[in-house]
Amino acid sequence: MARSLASGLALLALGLGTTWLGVRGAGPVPPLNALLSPSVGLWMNTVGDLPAEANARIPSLGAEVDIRYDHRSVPHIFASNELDAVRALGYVVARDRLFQLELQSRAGEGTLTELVGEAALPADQETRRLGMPRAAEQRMQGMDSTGMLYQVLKAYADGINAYREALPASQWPVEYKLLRKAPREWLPVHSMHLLNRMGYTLAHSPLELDYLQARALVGADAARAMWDASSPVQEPIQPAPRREPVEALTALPAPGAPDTAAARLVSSLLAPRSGKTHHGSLLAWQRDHVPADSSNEARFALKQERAFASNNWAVAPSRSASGLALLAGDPHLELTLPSIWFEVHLVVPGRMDVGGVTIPGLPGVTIGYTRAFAWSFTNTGADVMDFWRESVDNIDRPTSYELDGKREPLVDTRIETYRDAAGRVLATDTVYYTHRGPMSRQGNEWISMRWTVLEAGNELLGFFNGLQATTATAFLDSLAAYYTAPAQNMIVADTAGTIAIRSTGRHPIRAGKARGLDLFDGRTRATDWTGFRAVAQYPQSVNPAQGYLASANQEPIDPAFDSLYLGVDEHYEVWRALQINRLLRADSAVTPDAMRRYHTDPGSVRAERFAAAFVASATRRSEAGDTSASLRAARDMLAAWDKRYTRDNTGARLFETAMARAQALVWDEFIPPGKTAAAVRPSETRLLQLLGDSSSAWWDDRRTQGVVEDRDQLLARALTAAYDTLVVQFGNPAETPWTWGRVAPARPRHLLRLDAFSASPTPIDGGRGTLNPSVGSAFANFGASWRMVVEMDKTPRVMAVYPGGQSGNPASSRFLDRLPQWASGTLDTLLVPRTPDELPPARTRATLRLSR
Amino acid sequence: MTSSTASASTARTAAPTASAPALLAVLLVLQVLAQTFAGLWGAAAAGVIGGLLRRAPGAFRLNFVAAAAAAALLLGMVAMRGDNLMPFAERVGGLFSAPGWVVLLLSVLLPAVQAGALAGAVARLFRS
Repeated sequence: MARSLASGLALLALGLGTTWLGVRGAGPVPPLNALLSPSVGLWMNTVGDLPAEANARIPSLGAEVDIRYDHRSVPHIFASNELDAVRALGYVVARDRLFQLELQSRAGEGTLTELVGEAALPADQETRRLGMPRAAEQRMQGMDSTGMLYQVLKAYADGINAYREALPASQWPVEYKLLRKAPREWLPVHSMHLLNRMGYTLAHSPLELDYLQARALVGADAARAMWDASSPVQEPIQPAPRREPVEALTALPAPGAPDTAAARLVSSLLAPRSGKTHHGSLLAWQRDHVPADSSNEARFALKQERAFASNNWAVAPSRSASGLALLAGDPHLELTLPSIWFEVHLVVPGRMDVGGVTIPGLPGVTIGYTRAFAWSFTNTGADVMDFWRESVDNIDRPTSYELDGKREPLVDTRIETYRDAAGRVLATDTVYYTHRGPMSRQGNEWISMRWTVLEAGNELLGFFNGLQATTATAFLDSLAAYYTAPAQNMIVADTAGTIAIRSTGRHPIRAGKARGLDLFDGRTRATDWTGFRAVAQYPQSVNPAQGYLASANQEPIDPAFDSLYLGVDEHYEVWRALQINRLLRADSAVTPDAMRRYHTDPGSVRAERFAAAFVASATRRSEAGDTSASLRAARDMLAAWDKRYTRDNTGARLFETAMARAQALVWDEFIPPGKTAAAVRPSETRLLQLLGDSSSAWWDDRRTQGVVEDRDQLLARALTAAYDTLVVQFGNPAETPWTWGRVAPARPRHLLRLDAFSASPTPIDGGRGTLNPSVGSAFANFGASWRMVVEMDKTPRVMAVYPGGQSGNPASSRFLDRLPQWASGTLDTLLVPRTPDELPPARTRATLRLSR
Repeated sequence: MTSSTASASTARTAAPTASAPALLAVLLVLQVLAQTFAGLWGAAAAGVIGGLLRRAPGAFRLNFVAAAAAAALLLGMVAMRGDNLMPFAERVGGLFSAPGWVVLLLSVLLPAVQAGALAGAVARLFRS
């Protein structure tokens, strides 16, 4: 009896324990039974993926909407009015990307911790201290609820919520099941959060602290020449009247005595505060993917690899083989699964016929085409954020700040509360605001910030109204009328053969023609921005004589032609611009297929210039008696390399490692006393500038005693060290070649960074400084997130691809189906039906009918 | 066999229970319905009911088999309705550093352990 009772109780404990653990999990053990339940768990996500026929309801819909998914899973939305089209857009985006919608909007809202837990606290703190959620909320509060913008945001939310509400829990996206959360209601403000997040990604590049640290270490003259100056190589977006790029590789001033005033300020700004975590300082270049304990070298590498960059170019009929205008674009962003993009096509007869890619969460097509024109963007990268040192009444709890000799009360004080997934408070924060914007404690200083991203919000209207345009210039004008941030180089080509580009977005004008790299004195309004460039002053060009336009994040306008400050060399990158201009200049009969090939062209001006310098230095060192076998082997390998980043080349890895080594050796002057790594590092174009001056004081590595290095010694040392490092890392290259595709593959990663849901490492052609700059890194992957080529015939011929798939569901066969094509550099032909009947049944994968 | 265990065994087999195959069929239907509509809570609840129905030796075994069969059946139906089960199982397995077939097997075994243990416990406690 007792034995039976005991075994009964043991079984009861086993049954209840299994049930409890299965439902709740325990510590690191996930709720396995719930996840693996065949009826409600993850397996249900393999069911019901894009059924051939479906009907759904959106209560606010005005009329029925017919949606046809083509063979590439692209929804073609046929609606009778624009707001219904937007509602349908919200619905189809939610259908494939529900979790992504929430994750991305929370990133802009600073509430990621509520979804994924404490790991996201630093990212959330940075977001809120930058004032992003407050700006979005204020924008919504000030929005006319009868106006078009609000109507669009509301219609989009209605579409998303209609899908969300009808979705049974068993079909919730996989990520919600893993996180044990439910999809939240989508509100119009969430689109504003996402817009801010895009602004953060594309227009948040503070250099003030770097510049100050540089001054503190090498003096004002040298720091100014390296940071507060334009690029020494000019191949601008607004074409200059010449046929070649201009190089002004003048000698750099030698490192000078430290600027003591700058050193004092750096010391004050970086003073540790006991007991305070310091995530999200306004001044710091802080991105959420870099672990806090990463070395400076890792941070520099990531900064280089962070190819938040893009290419776009357009060819006039005079230089195209067909006599039609051509356009190409490939925005380079983080490669995620699902992709940042979702491909759509919306048709409202007589009002709208637009296709391309949308960002889930933003109601509109961001990059795409209409029947009349096609467009693409690259990031302008202009300096649109400035900082002021404020004088506050109480350094621990400020209530006012000094302004023009008086004490001004703070404009706002917000208590920010961070919660975990269960609603428990993780941390609180007080964010203060002056009339300029958010103010944050940095060491012993209070720093306020003004940033155009916080003043944006009407951009969607520019897109929406622009869809009525019939010419390239009319579309650009519509965008310019509404567009504040993040500033973009907007390129357009139309069916009439016009090509045009404009660096659109608010570019601040500083008082007294000041530039944007100094910390301003906050005690006076005289240092405030005085206005913004007029649209006529934006860098731009229409139908240039050269017959093409190209932008690749280079300095938009040659300062020789326009002295108004837009940014400095560090804000830009010139290598891809040099390459695409070289390709386009050499081709007077460009075809769409050539444009496609340019996207993944493995040529690199950067490699040509620097690799030649390494080889020449190594040769001279060998001739001077250096007998290092590693140096000889490295020189031979680099000399044999064709300087092209093909996936099977074996020289690029050595070159990249040597470049990193050389920069670590050259810029030793930026290592603060008592430290082992440089605090800041100049751009690569400064290194190019230095190459011509073989005995510059910069080449001397001050850490070595009794020897003064010159260029050849230092480059040879970097090359030798790189070779030896790679032998250890990848083995003897004679036995196991350092094949680029193997050692530097692309790897789109799942949004939650779950390796199991990420793509396998994928070899590609391209590397740093090439037109396809995808570079695998320990932290993340960046690269061409969408490639598009359009030939502007009466009906535009569009080819495109992105890495990933239309579905955000890792259980779907549509999750990763486009990756092989993207990796191979080929493009799909897009279908552009005017009516549902124009989509052939053989090319129709599914239909969806939406009704009230 | 000692006399005391022999008499206990006789008493158990003498309890009024349906034949094992018939009961298994009932339990299978019960588990399919319960797991379909209530997931793992359903498997647990059906296990309790199964234990009450079979307050005799074999309750664990019968309910284990019924729950496992129900889970396998439901999984099979998912595989037929969906189009990507095995590749997805490999991905899910990757979350736990396990092969895909292991997580599929766990999907069958976990509700079986739940239901079997609860049925066995209820059967023994109510017999006691």
